[in-house]
Amino acid sequence: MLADRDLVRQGLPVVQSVARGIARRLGGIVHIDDLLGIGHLALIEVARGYDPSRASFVPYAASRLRWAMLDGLRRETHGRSSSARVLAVMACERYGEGAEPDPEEPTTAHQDQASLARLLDGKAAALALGLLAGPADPDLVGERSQSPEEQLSRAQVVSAARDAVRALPERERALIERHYFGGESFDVIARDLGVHKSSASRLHDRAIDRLKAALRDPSSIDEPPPA
Amino acid sequence: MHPLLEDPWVAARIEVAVAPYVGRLTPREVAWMREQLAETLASDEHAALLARRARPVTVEESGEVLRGAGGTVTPISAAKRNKAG
Repeated sequence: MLADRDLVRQGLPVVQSVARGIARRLGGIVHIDDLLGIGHLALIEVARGYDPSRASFVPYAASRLRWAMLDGLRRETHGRSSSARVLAVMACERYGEGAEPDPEEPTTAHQDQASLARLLDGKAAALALGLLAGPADPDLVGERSQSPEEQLSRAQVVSAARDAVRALPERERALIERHYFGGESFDVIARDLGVHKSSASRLHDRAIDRLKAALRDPSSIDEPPPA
Repeated sequence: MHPLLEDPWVAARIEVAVAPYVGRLTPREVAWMREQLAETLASDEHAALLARRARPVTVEESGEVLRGAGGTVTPISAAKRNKAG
C-alpha cells in the first residue's frame, strides 16, 4: 500500500505532463482540468497494476495514463462533433504501436526513409479515418462556409470510407466499426475477439493499411460483403 | 504552426503523407493533420528515433557517418562489429 502511495506521488507530474500534451493536441475542445480528473483517478489503478520487473514506472505510467485520458474523452464526446478529433488522435497514436524499431539494429538510410514514410502514411490514414468516423467537426469542416458541391464531395468521401470499412476482412471490420463508428472500447472489442491487446493493435494496423488505399482512391474499394 | 514544420526536410515528409487527402478533406482538416504528424514526430519516442535515423546523412572523409544535425557519429564498420557481438 505504501509502495502504491509512493508510485502515485511519482505519477502526479506524469499526469500533468500527459494531460498538457493531450490538451495541446486537441486544441480548445478539451479542458485540461477534465483530463487531470480522468488522469488522477486512473493513476491509482496504474500504480496498483505496476509490475517493476517488466518496465520502468514513468514510461509505463505515461502510456497507461495517455490511453486512460483518451478513452475517457472518447466516451465523453461520443456522438458529438468534438469526437472526430479525439478519434483521429487515438487512431494516430494506436497506429504503429506494435511495430517499434530496434534502436540497436543497424539499418541503411534507404530502409529508415522507407520505414518513416510508411509510418507517416499509416498515421495520416489513421487520422483521416478518425476525422471521417465521427460527426463533422465544425471547426475543421466549416459546413456553413462550404459550397453545396464541397458538401456533396465530403459526403462522398465519408460514404467511401464506410464502404471501405465494410469491405475489410471480418475481424478487422469488427474492430474498426465497433471502435470508431460504434464508440466501443478497444480493450472490450479485443476481449470479444479473443485476442491480446497487442494482437488487436496489429489487426488495427493491418486494417488501416488496407483502408489507406481506399481513402486515397475510392475506386479501389472491393465490393463489401452482402449484409 | 508546429515548430517541426519549419524544418524543410520534416515538412516535406509530412507533405507527402497528407498529399492524398488534399482536396478530399477540407484544407483545415489537412492542416490539422500536418500539425498532428509533426507532434507525433516530436513526442513519440519511436517515431522521433525513426525520423533521426531517416534524415539524410553526411559522410565524412574518414568514412564516419553523421546522422542529422548534432547526431552521434558511428562508423558503419563499428556498428556491424557491435551487432555481430
